[in-house]
Amino acid sequence: MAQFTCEVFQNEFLPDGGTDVHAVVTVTCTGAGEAGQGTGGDAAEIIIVDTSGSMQGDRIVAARAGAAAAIDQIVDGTWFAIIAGTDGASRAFPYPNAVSAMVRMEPGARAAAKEAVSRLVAGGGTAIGSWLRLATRLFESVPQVTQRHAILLTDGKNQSETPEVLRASVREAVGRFQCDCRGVGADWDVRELREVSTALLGTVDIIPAPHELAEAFAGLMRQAMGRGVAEAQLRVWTPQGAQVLFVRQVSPQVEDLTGRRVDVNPLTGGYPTGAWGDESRDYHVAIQLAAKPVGAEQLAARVQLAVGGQVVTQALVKALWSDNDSLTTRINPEVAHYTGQTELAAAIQEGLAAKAAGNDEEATAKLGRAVQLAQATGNDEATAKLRKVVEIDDADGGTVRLKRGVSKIDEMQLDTASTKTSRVRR
Amino acid sequence: MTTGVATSCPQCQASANPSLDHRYCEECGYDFFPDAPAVPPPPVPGAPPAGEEIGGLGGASGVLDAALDDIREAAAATTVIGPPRRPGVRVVDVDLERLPARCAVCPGTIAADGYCTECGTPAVKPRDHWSEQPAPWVAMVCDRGIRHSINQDAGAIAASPEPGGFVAAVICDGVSSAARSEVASLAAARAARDVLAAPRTRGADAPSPAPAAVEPEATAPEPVEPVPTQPVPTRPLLLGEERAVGSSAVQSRSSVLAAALREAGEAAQAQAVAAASLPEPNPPACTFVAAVLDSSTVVVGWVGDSRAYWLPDDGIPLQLSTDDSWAAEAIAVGFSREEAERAPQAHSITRWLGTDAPDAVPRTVARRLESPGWLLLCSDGLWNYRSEAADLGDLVRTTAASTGAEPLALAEALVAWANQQGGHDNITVALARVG
Repeated sequence: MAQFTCEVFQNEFLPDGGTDVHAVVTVTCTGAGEAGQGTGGDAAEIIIVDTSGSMQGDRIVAARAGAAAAIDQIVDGTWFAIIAGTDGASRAFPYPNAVSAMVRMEPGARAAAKEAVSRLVAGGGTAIGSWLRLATRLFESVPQVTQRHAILLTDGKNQSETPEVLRASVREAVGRFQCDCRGVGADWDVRELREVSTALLGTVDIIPAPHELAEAFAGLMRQAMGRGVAEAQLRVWTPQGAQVLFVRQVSPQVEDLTGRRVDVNPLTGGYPTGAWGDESRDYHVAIQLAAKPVGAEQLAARVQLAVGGQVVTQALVKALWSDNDSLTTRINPEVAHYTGQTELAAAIQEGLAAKAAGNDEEATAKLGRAVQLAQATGNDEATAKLRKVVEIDDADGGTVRLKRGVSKIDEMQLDTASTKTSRVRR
Repeated sequence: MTTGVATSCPQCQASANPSLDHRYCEECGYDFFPDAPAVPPPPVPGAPPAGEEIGGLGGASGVLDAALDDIREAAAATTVIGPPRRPGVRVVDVDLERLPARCAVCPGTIAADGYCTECGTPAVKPRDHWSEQPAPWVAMVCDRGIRHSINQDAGAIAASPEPGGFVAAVICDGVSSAARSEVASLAAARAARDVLAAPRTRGADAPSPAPAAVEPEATAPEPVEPVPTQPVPTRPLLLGEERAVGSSAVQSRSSVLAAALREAGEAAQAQAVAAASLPEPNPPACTFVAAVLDSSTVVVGWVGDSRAYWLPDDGIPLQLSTDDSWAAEAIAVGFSREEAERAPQAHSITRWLGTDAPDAVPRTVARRLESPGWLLLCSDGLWNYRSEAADLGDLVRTTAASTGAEPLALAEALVAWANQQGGHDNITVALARVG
């Protein structure tokens, strides 16, 4: 049985007239078990493979191997299907003439599915929205399933349909399944795929070379199968008259949840968090209160996690107004760290966008700031990736020069890694 | 109708003429008819009739009334059988751990996490604000104030049902620079109250009743009653027996009360010491002020700067205690009160209870209360804003003019007033209506 705990990090002291309360809440799950194996309902997985013309050669070979590696990780009893995507979407398994849109994994199905993916051939365009629409329909065919997840692989931009069509397809899929997106090579658009993965509570990453695909897919599916809690909702209660400034997931990656609020009741907002395995996630909440007199105390937020509508853990975010400067001027290390990491992600993304637009001055300023933040927050992975894009003259001061002839892959790796945060060194 | 039969009190041997109209011994409060139904106590002047809701503090809304109901319910539910009491004397020990069900400032309820479900206001922890009213003519309110995060004040009060009969009130103000002083102050106040409210016999081996120290009251317009030296009784002496022993029964009663008060001081000191754990640089410490009123004779004892006042309705208000503080000592050597109280070290107390107490024996004064008025005990959380007896007397008079003379409402209103002045310290007020 999964157990959730949480811990709050904040400076609860506000100065006279202070209104903004910041806190980082760490939610930890243990004993999650395997997907679909508990009493909560079945799990379902769909593997979506880009079979457009650009996949010809190494890539389609690697994609077949990747799909097979993922199939090997799917636990028996899990409902599954394979979609081949071009400028339309087709069901590669179960075969198009099969009665069921999805089948349960068992040794025979596993062998048949691997046989099916070995026959995938490349040809045609790329219409990611159509792939997602088919996935949505396939998942709908198994209403007894409570946990739905997909892996989407592409190597190109969404050229065969309009961005509006893609957005509409994503909107339709929101809340119906989670989707991790992977791009192979350097010809796809990080921002385009990030929009899909963010909306569908998944991750986006680059697979630089086709031979890395099988391992990446096996890892993704293993992780998905390790999420034994199908769905949990982060809840933030705030007192009457208070305002939620933002709610962000800040670890393992930055994700702004603010706009995903659904009202649980007039004082409580719910934010979907998807499925949980044995893991910890950090959330940064910022609340604005009406200032109270020095000496007063107020609960600024109850940060809760709810599973199946039941609150399973709760952290209290407090506000205490004080005229003691030594208390009110303290900055909580976790809040400071993740504030910096969030700014780091934005600086990297904005810097790369400016660079792509040919605005070198802005790119240099943004990426310099990113180097400074990565250094200050001890995010060595970001620093290493930034180093491939800029020459660092002074990390503490954020003085950098743009490198010439930077590989597209290096830039994309920096971009996809921008939202990955390091933890506070405790 | 029970006919009174001239007899003597089984507890104090005082002559008595018990009947249901004279149910309690006039000397010691012994209940001659313990099995008889409780008699509703006579109304307190100015108090609303029984059954009518006491109005919200300062015209507050029904929300406050609901919160007060909670406090009363909690109080009623937690009256405990404690140590032996003088017959008829009651105490109310509020369970200071229990959270209230409703929010004190809005219509919300208190969640298990201790905060309001609507406005996030922390539940008023009973330790942060509670009141005791064992009889309708007395009340004690103890409050955290605004600026302090914990309430290190404590108070306790015991009283007989009949107005002006017997009351024992104690206030202890925990020293904020020491840890766990809130533990010391509460244990000390309750222990001292229990000693004062216990049936009074003096064992043969008890120390001779040293005469209550006569504290010349510099500011007192009326002389504080001198307590004469007395023949030392050689056998156990019961309170109330003085009439048979000395020519001045009242004076002898004050000696007995003063001895009880010193005993209460010892019990309080023992609790303050017990609150300390390992040897520590700042052991828990608290002040002590207690008053015991019995048949119009009041004896006040103190250690530190918590105070007792006599505020007659017609007459000059009087501070009965004399602070053990730097300011008081400065005044004694000729500084003006303003000068002394403005000094930065004005509030440094020179005596306190605790393991490191230089002298924990209460100084005492006795006084006969001849006219109607208020006996008031308070911590510096109140008197800081109205130090002079005359000013404090004015405050009580004007407050009573708006809230009425119901002691609990008046004590709550005085606490609310101190909070309006800034609530810089914990505030405790104990009131007994005399006459």
